Amino acid sequence: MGDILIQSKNLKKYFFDTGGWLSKQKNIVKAVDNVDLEIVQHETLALVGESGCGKSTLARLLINLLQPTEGEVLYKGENIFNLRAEAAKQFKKQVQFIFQDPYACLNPRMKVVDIIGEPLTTHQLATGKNKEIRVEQLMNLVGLRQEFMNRYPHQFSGGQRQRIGIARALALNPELLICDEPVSALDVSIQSQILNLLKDLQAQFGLTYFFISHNLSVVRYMADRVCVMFLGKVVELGNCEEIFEQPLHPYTSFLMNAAPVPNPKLRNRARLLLEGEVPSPMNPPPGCRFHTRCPYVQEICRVEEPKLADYGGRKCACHFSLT
Amino acid sequence: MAEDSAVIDGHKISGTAIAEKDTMLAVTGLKTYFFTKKGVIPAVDDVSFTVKKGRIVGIVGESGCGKSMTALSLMGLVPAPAGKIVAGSIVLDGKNLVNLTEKEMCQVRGNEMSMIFQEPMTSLNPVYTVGKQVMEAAILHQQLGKAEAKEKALEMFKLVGIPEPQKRLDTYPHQLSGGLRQRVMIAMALCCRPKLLIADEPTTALDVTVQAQILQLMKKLQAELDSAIVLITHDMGVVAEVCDDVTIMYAGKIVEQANVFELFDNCLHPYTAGLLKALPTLRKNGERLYNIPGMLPNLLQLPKGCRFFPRCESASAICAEQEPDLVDVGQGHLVRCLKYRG
Repeated sequence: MGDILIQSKNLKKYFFDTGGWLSKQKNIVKAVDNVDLEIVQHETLALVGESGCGKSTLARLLINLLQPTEGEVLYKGENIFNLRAEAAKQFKKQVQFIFQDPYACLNPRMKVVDIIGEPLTTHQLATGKNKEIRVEQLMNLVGLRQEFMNRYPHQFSGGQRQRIGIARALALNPELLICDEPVSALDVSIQSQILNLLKDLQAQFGLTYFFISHNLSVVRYMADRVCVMFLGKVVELGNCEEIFEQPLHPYTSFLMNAAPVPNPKLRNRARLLLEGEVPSPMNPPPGCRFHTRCPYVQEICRVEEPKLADYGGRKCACHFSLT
Repeated sequence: MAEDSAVIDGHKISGTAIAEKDTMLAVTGLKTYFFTKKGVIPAVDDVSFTVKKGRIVGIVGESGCGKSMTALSLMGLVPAPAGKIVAGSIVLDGKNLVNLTEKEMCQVRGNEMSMIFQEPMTSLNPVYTVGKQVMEAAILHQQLGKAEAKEKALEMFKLVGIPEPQKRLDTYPHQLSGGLRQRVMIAMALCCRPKLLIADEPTTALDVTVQAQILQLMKKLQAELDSAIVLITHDMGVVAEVCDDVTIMYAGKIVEQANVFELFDNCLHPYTAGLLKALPTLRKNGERLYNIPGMLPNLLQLPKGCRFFPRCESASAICAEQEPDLVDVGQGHLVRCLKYRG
């Protein structure tokens, strides 16, 4: 493994629901609960989990868009939550975000040249002609025709808009790109174009991706390592190939069983499906958080919370991992 | 053009040949056009398919291919005044829906045929309890009293597997999770035991685990109630899991139609092949993903020949000139490509 680029230590983010000023009830949503994660330089670490498991909260913590309740995030060894002005600015340059919805994340009143060039303006790196030259470069890089520079977002299709979003994220030569469901709003044929583009850019610039997705096929295609989250906790973490071949945590294997397979001959395959829905992250169950849905549940699971233990380079938080 | 209609007729004949008494829905030559200031948009252009009792038919395509408009045409919900069904017939169990008045259509909608939408939150009314919303259909179409309707709603909630159904009758949509909301939608749609259920991307907004549950539920209910389902989706995985027959649409036209096993084994149209190849599968091969070059044509300025020609890798010169017909290559496998002219 290479150098660790960014790392979270005992990271926690709790949201407090006081239920209004007259209410006595207090609920705590443990959106991210004690997460230790390392992202190694030049790798793609994918984060999977159902909605409400804390994926996006974790991503926002990693780029200092949210303040944690506890814990720290180290970027190249420095805690990003105590950076001084100049260092904080440098950090923001090196970490960029690609959003899910290419229709919502572009300002409809701005021209493409201003959207892609905005980070340059913000960081006072280029203006006027220089900015245009850089934007042209970026547009070529992501496969957009540079003549489209003076157009507005509504004149582009979904795939092209996502390319604009990627160009904007690349404007400052970042090291780490956080991709929050970058292809889930796109059609299949467009999705494959964007995934290929992301792979090419990674090879060309040595980028590191933190790739959030609920589509397991996409994850398998993109990721080097996979992290599976359930209700704010990491339940499994390890090499992508190994996790897909032989999941250790029951939840991981359920996730994989649930994914539809594009082969009608396999439609009647034997598979276990999860019953019920994700329990509310508000006041999660004691013990293992998955125990309410787990078919292998034992007495200990209801009482004691399993720790993330090491299984030959892979990590899994289960009392009875599937090996 | 004459040749075109002959083939449509041919298709119609082959359609009615299969169409015995168990045909629930027969759509023939459906054209839904939008008349805008900029010109006429052929959103659904000469679409024909049949759905037999107890079958699930998938309509697949990318956004803008006309699959949702096909569904809205079936329901008589094409946005007026711009949109209009200009030709074709929609025959549900022997009754042509195209000629019905709005009042008559209201009797059909929700009663003989109903629809599930993609986003359950936007199709449920936030200010009424979900129980009341399910009761509404029963009161309206089956002339049940309030108490009976409530009984019915409870029965439907049990049928679609909502836990604690009695309690859930009195909850509001925002108190339910996405999966439960979709179950409520299904309960509402099936309340009057419709002959035909149209599901427009019913699982797209849901997590994979919940998606698998909902798909299983739909399959189970379909087997129990023996209804016909039209499933609109862009996900080939979903198609492979539940559909019996598949219709692939591109730019308003059907490009391929076949049994699901035949389609996945032996897809003929380059577009279908491209869609299947573009899927990242759970099996990793490390190669680059295939992608279909270019994008959907503007429906206002359609290319002269084949609509897929500008993106097609196996196109030849004639494809730019001549529009292909939908031809039967055997066993009801239809394809619209000049390579298979016969």
